[in-house]
Amino acid sequence: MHSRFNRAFLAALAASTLSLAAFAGAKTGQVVTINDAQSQANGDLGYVRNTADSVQFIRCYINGSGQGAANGVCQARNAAGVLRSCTTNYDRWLTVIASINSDSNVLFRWNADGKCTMLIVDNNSTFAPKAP
Amino acid sequence: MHGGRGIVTGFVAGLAVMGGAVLLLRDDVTDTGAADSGRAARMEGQLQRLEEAVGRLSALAAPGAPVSNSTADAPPAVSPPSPAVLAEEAERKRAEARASVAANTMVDQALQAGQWTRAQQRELDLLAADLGGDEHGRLLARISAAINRDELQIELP
Repeated sequence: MHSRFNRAFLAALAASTLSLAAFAGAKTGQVVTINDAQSQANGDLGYVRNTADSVQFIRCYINGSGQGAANGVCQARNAAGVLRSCTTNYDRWLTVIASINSDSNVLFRWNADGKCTMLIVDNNSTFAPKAP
Repeated sequence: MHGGRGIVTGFVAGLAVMGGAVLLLRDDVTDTGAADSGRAARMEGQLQRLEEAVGRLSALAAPGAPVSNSTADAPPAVSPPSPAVLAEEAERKRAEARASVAANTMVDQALQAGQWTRAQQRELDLLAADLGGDEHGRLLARISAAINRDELQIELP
């Protein structure tokens, strides 16, 4: 009886250790930040989706249905409701947008004409995936 | 045309070879008393002339050789587009003009209302199929610039 208890205890201990190991690893999370002084927006797609508020979002999309060059748009809104956006038709940046996945961190900058002046995508294991 | 020239060239070359052969045979019959060295020299000369003749004919028959037919020197004729192609192009331009008016009107209305809805976004995405890429980009940039000036709000995408 006593040895059966010991075995069960050891099994539970091993399971909990393995469980903790599964959650190990560096983790970061970035809400949507808008910096008007730098004309810059930034945020993690997965982390932003998992926040409690229903205001902030960050996204980029490409519309390639036109007769000429495809166009890409990046938009972000922070928790305070400040919304920023930029547009690009540079092939290089369209390729960057196409590399975004649900765990990506996106940073973009814009000018007065609404054009993107910088676009960085980071696909990183430290970023949170989208929860349902 | 090239086939006809080839036949003529072949015919002339054949005649030249035949002529050479006849000369050789005649020499064989009539020059029985001549020295072997003299015969050999004449034969070499005849062969050389034959080779030169064949060479000239071959040059004439070469693909890049000039030909006397004047139409061959004319640049390739460019046929005008067919009526079907012209009609298709005209319809494409009409569709582009219609899409341009519709898209610009929609963006103007959105800027006046200060609101860019999901339905408008979807409509612009669809109109982009008929718009030139530059005009679509210009409209998207207008929307982005208005958003950044806090003059336009959008529904959740």
